[in-house]
Amino acid sequence: MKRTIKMMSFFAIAFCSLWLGVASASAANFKIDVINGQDGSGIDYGTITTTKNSCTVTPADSSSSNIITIKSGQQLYVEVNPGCTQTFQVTVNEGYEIDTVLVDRQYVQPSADGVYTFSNITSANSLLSTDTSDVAHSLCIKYKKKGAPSSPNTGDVAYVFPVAGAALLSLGLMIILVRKNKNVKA
Amino acid sequence: MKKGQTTIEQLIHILDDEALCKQLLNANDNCSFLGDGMSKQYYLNEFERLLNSTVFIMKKTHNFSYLSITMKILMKFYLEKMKENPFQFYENVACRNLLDLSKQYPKELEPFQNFLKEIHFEEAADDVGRFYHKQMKKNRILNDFELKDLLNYLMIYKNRKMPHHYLRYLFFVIFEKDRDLDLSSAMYAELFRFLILDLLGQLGWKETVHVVTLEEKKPFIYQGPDIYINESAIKPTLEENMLYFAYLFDLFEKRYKYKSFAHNKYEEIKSKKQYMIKEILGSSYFYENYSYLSIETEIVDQSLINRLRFFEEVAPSLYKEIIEDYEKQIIEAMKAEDPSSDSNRLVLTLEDLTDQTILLSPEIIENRPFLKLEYQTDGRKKKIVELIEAYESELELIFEDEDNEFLASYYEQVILHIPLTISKLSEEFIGLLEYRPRLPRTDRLIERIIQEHFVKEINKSVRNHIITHSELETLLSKFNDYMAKMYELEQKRISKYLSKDPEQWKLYNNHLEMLYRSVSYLSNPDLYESTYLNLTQVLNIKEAKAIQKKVLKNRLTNQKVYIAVLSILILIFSISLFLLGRIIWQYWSASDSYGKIQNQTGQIKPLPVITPDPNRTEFPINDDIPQIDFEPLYEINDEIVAWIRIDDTEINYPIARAEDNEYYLKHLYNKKPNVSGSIFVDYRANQDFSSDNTILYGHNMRNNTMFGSLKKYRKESYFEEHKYIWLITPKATYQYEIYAAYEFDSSKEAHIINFNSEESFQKYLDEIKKKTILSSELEVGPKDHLLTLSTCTDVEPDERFTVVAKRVMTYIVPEENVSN
Repeated sequence: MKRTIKMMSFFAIAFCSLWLGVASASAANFKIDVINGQDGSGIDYGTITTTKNSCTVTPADSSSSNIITIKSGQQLYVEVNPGCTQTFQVTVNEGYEIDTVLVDRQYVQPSADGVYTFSNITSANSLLSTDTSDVAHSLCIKYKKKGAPSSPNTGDVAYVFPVAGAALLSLGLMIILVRKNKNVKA
Repeated sequence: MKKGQTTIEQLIHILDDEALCKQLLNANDNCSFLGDGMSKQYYLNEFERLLNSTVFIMKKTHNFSYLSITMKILMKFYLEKMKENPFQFYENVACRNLLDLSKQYPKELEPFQNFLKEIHFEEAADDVGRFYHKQMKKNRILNDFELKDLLNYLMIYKNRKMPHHYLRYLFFVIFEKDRDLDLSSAMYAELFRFLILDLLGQLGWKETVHVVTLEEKKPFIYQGPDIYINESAIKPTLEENMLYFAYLFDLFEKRYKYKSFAHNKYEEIKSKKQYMIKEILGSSYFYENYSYLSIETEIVDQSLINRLRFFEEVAPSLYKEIIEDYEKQIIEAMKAEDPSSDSNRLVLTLEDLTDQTILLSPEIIENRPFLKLEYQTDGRKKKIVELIEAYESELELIFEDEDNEFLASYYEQVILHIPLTISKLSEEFIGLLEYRPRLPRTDRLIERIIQEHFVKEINKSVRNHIITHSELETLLSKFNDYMAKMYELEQKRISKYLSKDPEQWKLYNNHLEMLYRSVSYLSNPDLYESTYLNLTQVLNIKEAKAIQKKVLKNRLTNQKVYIAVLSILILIFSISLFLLGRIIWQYWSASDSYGKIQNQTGQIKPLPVITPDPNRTEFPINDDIPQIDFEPLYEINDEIVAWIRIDDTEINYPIARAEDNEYYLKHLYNKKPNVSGSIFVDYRANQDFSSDNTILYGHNMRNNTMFGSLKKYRKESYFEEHKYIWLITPKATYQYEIYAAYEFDSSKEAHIINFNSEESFQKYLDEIKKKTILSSELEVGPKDHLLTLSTCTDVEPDERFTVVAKRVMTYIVPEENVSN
């Protein structure tokens, strides 16, 4: 009987521990939503890298390397434990530059060194979270071609002078042609 | 007298009173002495009316009871003026009518005839005419300008009786002396027309002649000699004039040729022809055709022949002796190929003999005016001149000095051709002269003159009158010349079409060469005629058709190219017009649309003048501050977020915000597509305008709408007058104060909306301070909110012009009034 009770106690403790461990583990981890130049163009603008530290879990990456690389056009959730600090390094390929940076859906001034850090992550952001995941932060990088204008083209696109010029020129040529033909006939 | 009611009796009363008439004529303008206060011009007009009326009555009724009044008016008011300038006579309708009447009723109109005698028409000329008359009398050679002026003078007065010698003088200078006045072909033709008319006048021509003028392009009908006849001139016989006519034409044609073609070419043809003539005529017919040859070669030695004729008549035995000697000399000269030296010697011998003969019996030159003329003018023959002074009265009839030299040459010919023989010139032959190839327009008109007034008239006259063998030869030679000219023209014309086909050109050239050679056989017109006809037939049927076909083909090809090019141009023109219309419509549509929404939202009221409070920046809104009910705007477009106004400028628009910065570049606030677009806020800026730097974009339109007027901020004065921007949102109305404006390259720099730190914001502000072209004292720091208005510069595609303002006042709308 004692043995049965001991066995049951052991299983109960083990089950509780397992439940608590799993429960504690699933409740405490947060996600960072990272979007790297996802404009559907397929262009390789650059990469975003972050490190696998002790409190980082990368479900999409099973490699043994300590670095996680988010390629251009990718969207990944980087899972972090509560209280962690996670840093992202943006590396832009030749010919491109950062157009806009959205942190937690707010446009921010692009950093000069391309480093974006989220410190002491302790709670999820209700604006970013969905029913199934607790998203604490989001980082979205948009790129543009180097030298492309940073603001829209607001010139007068009604080409009045070229169009009027073409009309006058063609009219002038028509008159000359008709007169010449008249002279030839005469 | 009452004003405007002057009766005939009153006018006659003035006419009868010599003193009153004089007073009227001498009056300045005021004729108060006549008692009614009317002007001098009024009375003169009244007398003119009376004159015209009396003449009109006489003309219609042939009743001359009013003649005395008419004559009184003419004598008192017109005579003096007409004496001064007799052309005024012809300008007066009444006088012209009286002149007509006086021909029918010479007795009844005797007073008018006396009146005419008072006017010296023979010296009639206006100032211009009088000037030239004087110059010619002085024997001064007119310069080119004067000659042209004289010609114009003749053209102007061509329908009046003009001094005959002007015309002759002009003709003499232009054609005889070969003065190149650089006249147009039309002017030459006109001058030639004058000469024809002058000649017809001399002939006393009674028939109607249709003269085609180049200017009018319609027949000028000459109906009689009245205009051009010169009463004082010798009236030559018909034959003389016909010859003169031919002579005129010859000179005209030469001149015309010289003008129309390269001089060298003409000379070449001429020398070739002379050579052929010499070949044909030189050996056996030299003497008979001497005159003909002399015309051709221009070795005019008419006086030699003149003298030979003279001696044949007055001294037959001496003549025989001389001529035998002369013939011997000619034969020797022919052998030595130097006939001119012999004939010169002969001239000298004959001159001496002539002098002696005339000295012995001067009456023998009575009927030979050119001998008389020669003896009158030559200084060596003074003694003979004295002898012939007895014939002075006859000499007076000879034309004035300038004409003598010229007229001498043709009268000489006229004398030589008496007695005349009847011409056998056939109508068919003359008809051939009418062959004319296709010519340029001016040549065609000249050809028509030749055809209508030379060939036909001469032919008609020649058949009805007497013509000499020499004249016939002259005509033939003219025809020869004419064909040479045609040959040239034909070559010129054909070379245009055949230049690309050397074989065809060669063939054609051969035919023309044969044609040309055939017309040179003047001694055998029959041979010429058959050759000519055969050749023209061949040309007409075969070559002409081939040429015609080729020309037609060329024309069709040219026409196709023409239509193709024209169609392309029409297409370009139509598309351009369509696009232009579309642009104009879009401009108008945008203005109309924004005008309507401004009305609807009440944003046409003037803005308040509020100076910002430096101590307090937030106030609750009041009625003085501009507000807008955004509900109706949301119904139009829920993307409208605010309204922007700058007082006294075109900037008064709703502000929209899209998911990107592209949509409102091409859409109006109501989402209708339009090139004017809308004013829109950068999609990255905070919706509540809480960003550090909110950027608004708008097109730099050429009609200054949207942000087209921003460029005016380059001027300091404009900036001073338009400093404040009002931004109206549903929750608050903001007042911004402009403090900077600058240009920047958007491919290298960018506007920043939210700054990471105060340091970076301050850095941004410092950069603005460096770049700004405005001198504002406004303090701006990192805690402020900026509003940036951005537009293109239209200079470089990436260049932007930016106006930056700082938020200075906020007027909060109460929560309950905020539109959702």
